[in-house]
Amino acid sequence: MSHDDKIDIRKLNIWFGENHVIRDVDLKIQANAVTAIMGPSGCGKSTMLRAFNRMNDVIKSSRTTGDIFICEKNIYESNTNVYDLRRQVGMVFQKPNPLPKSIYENIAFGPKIHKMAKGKALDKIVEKSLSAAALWEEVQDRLTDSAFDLSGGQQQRLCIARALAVDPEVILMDEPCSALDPAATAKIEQLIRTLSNDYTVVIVTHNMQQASRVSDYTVFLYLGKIIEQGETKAIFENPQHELTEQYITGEFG
Amino acid sequence: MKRLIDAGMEQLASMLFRMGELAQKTVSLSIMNYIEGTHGHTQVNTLSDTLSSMADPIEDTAFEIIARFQPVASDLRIVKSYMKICYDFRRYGRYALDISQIYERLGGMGECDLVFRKII
Repeated sequence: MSHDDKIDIRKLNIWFGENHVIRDVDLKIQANAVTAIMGPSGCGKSTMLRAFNRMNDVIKSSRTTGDIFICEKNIYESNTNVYDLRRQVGMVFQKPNPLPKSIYENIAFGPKIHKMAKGKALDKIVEKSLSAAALWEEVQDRLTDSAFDLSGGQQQRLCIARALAVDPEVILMDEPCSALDPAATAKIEQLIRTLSNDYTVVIVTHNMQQASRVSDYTVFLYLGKIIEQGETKAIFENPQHELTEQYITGEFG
Repeated sequence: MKRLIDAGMEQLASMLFRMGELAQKTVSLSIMNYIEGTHGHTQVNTLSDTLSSMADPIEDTAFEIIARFQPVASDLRIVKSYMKICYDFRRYGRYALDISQIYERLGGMGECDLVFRKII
């Protein structure tokens, strides 16, 4: 594993019951870059993403083999603390899912339960996280308002800020803009680019234009297998595999 | 199943094909005039202007396809190639015009030696 690789996936296989969803995936994900995982519905994109912070573990029928190294530590070792792992590998979902609390409490919740800070130090984390998520300017005067009072785009940025508050290494995003309008999407995309300076971002998207706009690297997944991976420019301008070509030009999907 | 972009690509190809035929005709005419010593400058000029005017709608269509369908991979490469070919066909028209202007100013092949001696 090179120092530039934040995530190293080796021979990953995932089953849900009899359904073999991810098949022998080997992949290295570069640090401080945005990697987009794309592929048709049901190809295993979200399943693969959820393997990075062991969220598939909560599904009883799921079974995982292979190794995933994050920061050179195998997260599938039996002694892995999954709560620490999920702090280290934050996740943003398709629909914004703020907690039924104030804006401040939404951000402070993670650092509090991980006993990272309290008092003024906690206030600083809240401000820093909201600033990093490009939301501070918009909410600094209404931190005690309910998070549900925010617009959809603001709620999604709040969820990103909530993930940032616990000082993660990796941020996973599962179709983070699919429920947002174009203006909110543009803000999130801009934010994703900015975040890649400090974090490793992995994004699952159906929107190929979005993948081409925001990502440095792209992985094309089909029927649970990686068909092609590489620099986004190369994948979108001159894909090497016929299936990739067919998928990105809209011949199937 | 046909994709939405396909209709635009077919239209672009057909416009470019027509432009190609005209470019070939224009260059052939000007070379023929030069070799055979025929005055055809006006006709070549008209054809060259037509080629120029055909290029703009092709470029417009290419930009429309890029803006509306955001082509990638082979589609993107084809659109890019069509734009380059379109520019080259327009250039053929200009070169055909240059050849016919040379004939008008300096005469045809038969007068080449004479003119050359005068220059020296």
